[in-house]
Amino acid sequence: MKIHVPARSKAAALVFQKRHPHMDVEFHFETQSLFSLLSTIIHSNADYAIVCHDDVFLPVGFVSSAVALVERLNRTWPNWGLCGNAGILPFLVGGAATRTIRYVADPHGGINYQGTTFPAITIDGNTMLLNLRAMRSRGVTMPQLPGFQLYDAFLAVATISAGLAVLVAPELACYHSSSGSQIDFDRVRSDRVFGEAFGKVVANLSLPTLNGDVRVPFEAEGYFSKIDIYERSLAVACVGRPLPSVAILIRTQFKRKELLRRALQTATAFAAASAHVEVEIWVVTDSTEAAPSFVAQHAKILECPVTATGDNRALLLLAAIEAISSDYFWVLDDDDWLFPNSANIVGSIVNIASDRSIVFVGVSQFDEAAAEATPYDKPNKEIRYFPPTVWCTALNGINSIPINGQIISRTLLQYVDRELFARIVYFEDFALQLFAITQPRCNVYVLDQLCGGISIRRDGQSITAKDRTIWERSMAELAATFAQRNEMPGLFASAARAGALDRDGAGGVGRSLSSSESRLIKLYRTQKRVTQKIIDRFRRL
Amino acid sequence: MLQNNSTIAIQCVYGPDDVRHIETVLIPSLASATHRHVTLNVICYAGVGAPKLVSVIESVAVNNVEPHWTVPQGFGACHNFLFQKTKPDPFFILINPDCIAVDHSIDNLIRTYTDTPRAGIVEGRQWPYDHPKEYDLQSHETPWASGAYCLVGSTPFEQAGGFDERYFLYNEDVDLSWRFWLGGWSVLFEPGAPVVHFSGQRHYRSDIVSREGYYSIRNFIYISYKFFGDRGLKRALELVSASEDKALAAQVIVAARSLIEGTKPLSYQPHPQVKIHGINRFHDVR
Repeated sequence: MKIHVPARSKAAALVFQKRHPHMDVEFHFETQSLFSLLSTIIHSNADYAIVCHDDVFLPVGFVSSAVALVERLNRTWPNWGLCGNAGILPFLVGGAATRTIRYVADPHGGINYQGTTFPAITIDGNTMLLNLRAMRSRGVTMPQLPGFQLYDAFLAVATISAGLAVLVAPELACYHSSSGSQIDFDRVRSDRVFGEAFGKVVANLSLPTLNGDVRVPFEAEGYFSKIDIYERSLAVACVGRPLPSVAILIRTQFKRKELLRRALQTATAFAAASAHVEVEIWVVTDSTEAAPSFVAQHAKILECPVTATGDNRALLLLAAIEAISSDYFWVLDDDDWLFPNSANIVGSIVNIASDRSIVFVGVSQFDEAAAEATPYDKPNKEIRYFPPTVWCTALNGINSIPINGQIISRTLLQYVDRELFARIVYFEDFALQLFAITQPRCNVYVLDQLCGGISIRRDGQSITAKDRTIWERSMAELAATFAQRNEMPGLFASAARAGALDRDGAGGVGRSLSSSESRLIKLYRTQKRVTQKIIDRFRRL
Repeated sequence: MLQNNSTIAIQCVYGPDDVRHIETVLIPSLASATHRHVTLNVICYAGVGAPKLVSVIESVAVNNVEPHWTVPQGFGACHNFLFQKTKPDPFFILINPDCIAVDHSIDNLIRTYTDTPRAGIVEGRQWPYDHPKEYDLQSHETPWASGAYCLVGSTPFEQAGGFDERYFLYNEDVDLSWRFWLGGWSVLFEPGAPVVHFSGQRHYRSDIVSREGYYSIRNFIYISYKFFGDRGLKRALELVSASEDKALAAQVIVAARSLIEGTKPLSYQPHPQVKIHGINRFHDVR
């Protein structure tokens, strides 16, 4: 496979050659525009090519890795068009809930992830692998623009727009000795010509790159036929990949029939709006009561008689996971519901996720004063959003993601300690998270969009119970179990530091609130609600 | 007069991506939203060659009305076409393709309609995100009704000439409501007729201009001119020009002027329900 290097000078070319003997390199001298050069390379006769800067240091064996990468991508990402070693993702990943993936070391820093291929919106041009055959067949075209900035972002956008995936893969990792020119980048990104060129293709008003965001001016003509780069980059990456199965499990004892019906209808709506996955809805129960007739219209029924007395919700969950053969599990209680607005994105993320993955999504609590018989009786009010970006605080002992905010792969759930589930009643959602995220090679994907609703009513719910004995007993079991395990001990300590200090613009983890801060906020919210009610009453008079 | 066992007409304009939801969620929900039989008159805004809908529910029959256009048509144009083709009487119901009807909700819309003399439109309440606009607690009168889920009287609809198709998307429901008020028909809000409609709130994005974000602002300028003449146009342009996104505002204004060209405003008739409080604020907030 040929490596194309736009060399700034003969001297730079000699240095590159000395660093990389035995590599098939074609140097391009006196290049005035990397846009034109890429255009020339795309329309050459080769099937694949690498394009890299003259100041990268490729590791020994790089070319054979790249060849193996081509074979792997053709097999597992059959719709790929372009691959880099650093880029911006259409979702968030990892403890820092970041959009940026770097499999490159440079003066800015080192790698920030391991071993996983991700679909990207834009990539960095220091080292790129091009699927020239696919690009030619789909008509990937570069604009005629000058210079050496933003060519990589344009190539990525053109590739996605042509229907091919842009990826970031670890096999292209290297060292890049230049930190780039932020001044040059800033000059170009504020040049209207470049923004307008992007604006011919994307509907997004801002295009993120590793050097900074490029503002894309709004142009009304043909606007609604342009692509949303976030959705499209995911959709094209899913093409040709197998469809994973997702089991939505709704736990119920049939005591709250109308709420169960709402859960089922919204889960069905979610399934209808999903893409790139196969969704199955299950109603899981330990009740001996017959299921209401409406259940069968939406879901399969799994009866799991559990012999333990008392609240069996934790064991019921385990029994369901063992009985249902699905790639992913998403658990709702029968008074929860789903929002289908982001269903296609959720499905796409599950599709591209690695086989040991957990996807965290946003959920909100809603104050529902209505009786259970009529869940739509009165307007409800959103009272608290649980951002999935703070999932890492689980390693500080904070249960910040409700159960319907987690979609967990079966491969991670096999590590669940069954004995613990026999001892706990509550915090089974927390236990699932901790078992999953403390496994080696667990990948965490984060979609910070509202996907689930949680009903908070005046009574009849464990979460509002005044007597916390069962909660505290469950936490004692949980703390003891995890303290005595020894899988990723360093992870807990580093997460505490990350939770306290880190926040980046791409969606980092914020500091957790102390209990007194939480109490103050709760008091403020209660007073605000009461004051608003008084104002509303006066308005009606 | 509607008999208890009459079939009622529901109109739904859908896109190719809505088919699965309509067949697996909306149609079954319609069966329990009313005890009557339903004819669901549907049309795809995308035009000829669009996928057809099927119902497996006995009490809900689907009537796929064939479009004749090849470029996407707007909300008003599609519903006007459905109305002309199916001639529902004495009323019809509009429902968006992404809705889920709640038990007895349609019957409650019908009851409010039949109990109120000269009712023109009866709007249902949206869940989980309610339109927080004013309505009279006694009479249920409200300035305007959302076209996402409402019952419309066939006589006033025909007299008014249907939806104004110039809007394409958004604000045509406000326009229709105001013309009903000016024509002596009332517009009502029925909180006892909820519908599940997942829209708005947290799902708005700041990095993209949505169809709602563009068309509703353009149409705000048009509706201000149509009902309040040059005075209304001047005020609307001032408000839109003062908005944060100057590039969007400038282009929306150009598009609105193009829309207004060749039209004349209605003769100004003051009416307490026909009012503008701000950009797309046609009501007091409840």
